[in-house]
Amino acid sequence: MTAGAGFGDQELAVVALEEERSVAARAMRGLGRFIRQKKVGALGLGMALIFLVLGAAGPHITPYDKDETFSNANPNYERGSTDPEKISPTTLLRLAGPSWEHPLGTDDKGRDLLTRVLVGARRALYFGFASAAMATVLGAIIGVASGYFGGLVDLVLQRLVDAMIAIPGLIFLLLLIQIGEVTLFRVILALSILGSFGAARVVRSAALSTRNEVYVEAARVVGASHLRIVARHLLPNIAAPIIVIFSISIGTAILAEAGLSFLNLGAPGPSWGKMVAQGRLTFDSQPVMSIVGGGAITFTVAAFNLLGDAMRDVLDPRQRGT
Amino acid sequence: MTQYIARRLLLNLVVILIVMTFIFITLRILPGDFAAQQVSDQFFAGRGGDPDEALRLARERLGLHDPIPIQYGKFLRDLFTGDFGTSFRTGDSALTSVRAALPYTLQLGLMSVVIALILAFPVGIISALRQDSWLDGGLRLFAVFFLAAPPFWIATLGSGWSLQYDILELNVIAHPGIWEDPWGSFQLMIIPALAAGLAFGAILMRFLRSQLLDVLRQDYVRTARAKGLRSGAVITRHVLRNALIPIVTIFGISLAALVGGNVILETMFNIPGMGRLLLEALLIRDVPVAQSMALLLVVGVVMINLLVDLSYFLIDPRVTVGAASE
Repeated sequence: MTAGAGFGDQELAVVALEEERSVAARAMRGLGRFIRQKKVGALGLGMALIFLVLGAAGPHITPYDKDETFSNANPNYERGSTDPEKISPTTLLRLAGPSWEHPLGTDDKGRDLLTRVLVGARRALYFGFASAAMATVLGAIIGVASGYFGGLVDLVLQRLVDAMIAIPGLIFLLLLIQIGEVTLFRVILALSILGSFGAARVVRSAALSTRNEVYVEAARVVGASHLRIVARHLLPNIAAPIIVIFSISIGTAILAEAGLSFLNLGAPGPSWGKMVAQGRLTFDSQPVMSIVGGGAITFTVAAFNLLGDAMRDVLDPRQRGT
Repeated sequence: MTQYIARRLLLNLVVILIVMTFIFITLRILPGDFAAQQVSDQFFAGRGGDPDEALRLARERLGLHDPIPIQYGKFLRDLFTGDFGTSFRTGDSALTSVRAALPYTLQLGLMSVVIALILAFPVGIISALRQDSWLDGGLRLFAVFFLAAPPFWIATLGSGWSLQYDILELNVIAHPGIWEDPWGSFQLMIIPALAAGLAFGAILMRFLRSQLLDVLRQDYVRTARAKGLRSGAVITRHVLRNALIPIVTIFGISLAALVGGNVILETMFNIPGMGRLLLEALLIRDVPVAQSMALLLVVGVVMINLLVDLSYFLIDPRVTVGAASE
């Protein structure tokens, strides 16, 4: 902030407020333009918002608990009978079709499927955002170090990234998460590390093309420290690809986590990937479970892909189509 | 050129060494080694004796008893002499397991790639030539869908419905090889190949479209049209050739992912390929098999990347060694 000597505190506050208002206004105008110009991107944004709202509020909307099981009265019930068909007064409502009480029916253990889908959305929200955020930060650190310093640092870091990318993703995840008990946090951490390699490559190439720009050189000439150059000159100029990578990483993380859950090697709790796997076993009688689980994954991943693509077109035209 | 290749090979060796060290270390950090599982199985089966002694003996027999630095030294020595160790589970050479798995993975990979190419080229070209038409919109929607849909879901729906309507016969128990029972093998592989191929094709198609759109705007394309060249010749001789380099890059990256990435599909369809074998070896801590499998996968990936970079010289005469090493 470069406040002139003539500014009093009040005037400063007014200036700051106006600046803030203009930033907000600019952001709103930018958003409006984005929606008008990028219809597909706006669709992605809408889909992402639906996912966010359902993930945040979903578990509170549904009247049921995720583990609550539902039963019907057993028509064959006979008091005191030892016949397994007649012994219980109720039967578990397994794999029921859609009804008013259960809009998507029930799963193989008699639980409300819609509730499970909504709780799965919450899980995907955690995995997607936490992993993507950490992957982006980690990738940005590796990428900037590699691209800005170049030379030996670049060579070493890039060989490390090459090496890790060569390991099949699922195997890499398993190697990391099986070191201890498979918990939510451990899976998120493993997904972040896996995701950071791809992010590092993109950030590196952006940093590489920026580090020889005149303004970076000027900063170096006046004696700015590396940290200052990176923070004030480099990062703001490569923010666009970083934002795009973040959006795409959300989808990638959700897909990778779904794969783990599909093989039943992920963290415990209801998940879309597991739903596909369970539905596969009962596909003949009730395909809804598989269809809905996979459909939810596809919807969410498509949302963030579309959003990311459109943002790339707007923010960073150089990278279009990659 | 020779120097460039030599340099790349050397770097690849470094990459392979890093991966193998990483795999070695994590396999030793993972809790519950093969010996412990074996011994606990024996005690569940009711065979008496001193469990600690049995564990010590089993570890000694499997070579897990030595301190880790010594194990690492042996591991490196064996790696360079081409000794891949014996599988803990079967007692055969680990290489035998790998060799048995390789044809299945290659078959699945090849079928997926063929499906992807058949899909991506015509669709990508049509989409670019009819930019912003309804057809283009529909084809792009198709690509967005298959890019986002997890392949295991597509495979679940495909196998579920084709079994329900008796379209295919999936012999997941005998998993026939291509030479013994080609038709049975094809039926088993076609759904996972479609699932992987559609996802791969969607990536290629999108990429091809945007590359073609870039090239179509170039002056030399306008010149070619202006001098009266037929539209087909413009596309094949001027447009496709110039759009090829970035596509080969993406193709290489995705091919590498296909080599190792079909872990889930192979597991689903009980195809005894490399992905499934690696997963199994990892879960039961069959260290020699996991290491040999990882080595082969990584060598495959690294070599594909090198071939991709070398192909630039073929496709584009302007590419020189200096530019390629940037």
